Amino acid sequence: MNPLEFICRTPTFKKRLEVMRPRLFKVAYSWCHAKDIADDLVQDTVIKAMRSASSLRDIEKMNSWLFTILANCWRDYLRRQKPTDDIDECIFTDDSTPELTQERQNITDIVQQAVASLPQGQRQVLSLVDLEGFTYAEVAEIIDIPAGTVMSRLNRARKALSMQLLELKEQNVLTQDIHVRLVK
Amino acid sequence: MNEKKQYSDEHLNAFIDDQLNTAEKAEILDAVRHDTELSQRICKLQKLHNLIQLSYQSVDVPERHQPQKTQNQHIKLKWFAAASFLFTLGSVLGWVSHQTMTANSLTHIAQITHNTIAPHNDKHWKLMLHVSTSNPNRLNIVLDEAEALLNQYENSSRKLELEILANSEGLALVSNNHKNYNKRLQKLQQKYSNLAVLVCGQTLKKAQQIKGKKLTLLPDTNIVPSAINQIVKRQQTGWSYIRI
Repeated sequence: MNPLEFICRTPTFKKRLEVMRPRLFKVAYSWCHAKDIADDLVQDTVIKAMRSASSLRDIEKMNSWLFTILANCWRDYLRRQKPTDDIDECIFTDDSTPELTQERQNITDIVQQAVASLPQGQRQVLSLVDLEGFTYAEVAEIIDIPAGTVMSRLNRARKALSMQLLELKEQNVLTQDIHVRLVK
Repeated sequence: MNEKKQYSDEHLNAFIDDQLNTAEKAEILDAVRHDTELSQRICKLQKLHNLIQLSYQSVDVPERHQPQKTQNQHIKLKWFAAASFLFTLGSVLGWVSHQTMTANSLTHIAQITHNTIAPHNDKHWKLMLHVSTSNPNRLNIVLDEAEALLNQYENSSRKLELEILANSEGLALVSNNHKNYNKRLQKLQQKYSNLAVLVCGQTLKKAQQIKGKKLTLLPDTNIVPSAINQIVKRQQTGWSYIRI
């Protein structure tokens, strides 16, 4: 990279990093459902991104690059918690978080709890696809798994959520009939 | 005997996530017309996808992860001047190109298109614009093109029926939030009787549950039970379809 390109890119890099931080936080939160842990993960990601900015060859791929760093930070965190377990299959819940221990009727909490109950490998794929809109190929690169595994984890995640959230149908929360009407 | 083609859940997931090529998407859209069960499976997956998106939109992001405004006034003015010049230039070029308008501009930003035949040989063109984004730039492009089409057909012998269907993040377009694009759409509704604006009832219901209060929509906005059902119904009756 020539010096002029570097000089022009640095403000762009910083600005993009700033813009990405809330998105990184929401995805990190969807993985751990604990705001303090998500906060730490994003902080670690930002620090690592700033340190290794020169390794980013194509600024247009910055989004997937950042989420790769986030995924690695999350993997490191899980390994510290459960060093001998298969982390892709573990179901991580932080018992100390008030978000998951309080009983609420809010549909947002119900859906988030359902997502939190998924094995972490499925949860990661689901959030990268549904929250960030990454392609399957990008997700495969971010979390370093084959594209076929992305599809199968996504399928299992959506099947499991569909079965869990069908209970809400019985409580008439999700599928109340909406009649066509004219709004004045 | 024609047997219905069976689509795996993984294939339908790829359809919902826009991971199929144009031919594969068109095949499924065509199959949905004749297969109620397939339509229901897709609808269920789409609902789940929307539910997850909506459920994490309300996550409070800590202050320190919010974008900071660091540009100084001098740089802002310079960029504003450049942007104004480019906008003026673009507007002039855009006005010129509208003289031979088709749906090409919309298809450039479209995610899915179906049956967007050129309207020149068709005396009665029916077009559905399916909006599922809240990106202001894209919403304004949709409104620019819709207005140009409506204006073009108003002064011709050909008839246009235009439907704008909003779901998912497209709810922003039809909510009465006093944004520029909301006001623009309201003006178009008042001016053109051949424009109908619809919103997905499922999206509306979930958004209201998450916000904990009723949302106000633009006047004359129709609520349909489900976006996918409306799309299938329109495609079964020969409507062109563009999803933004």
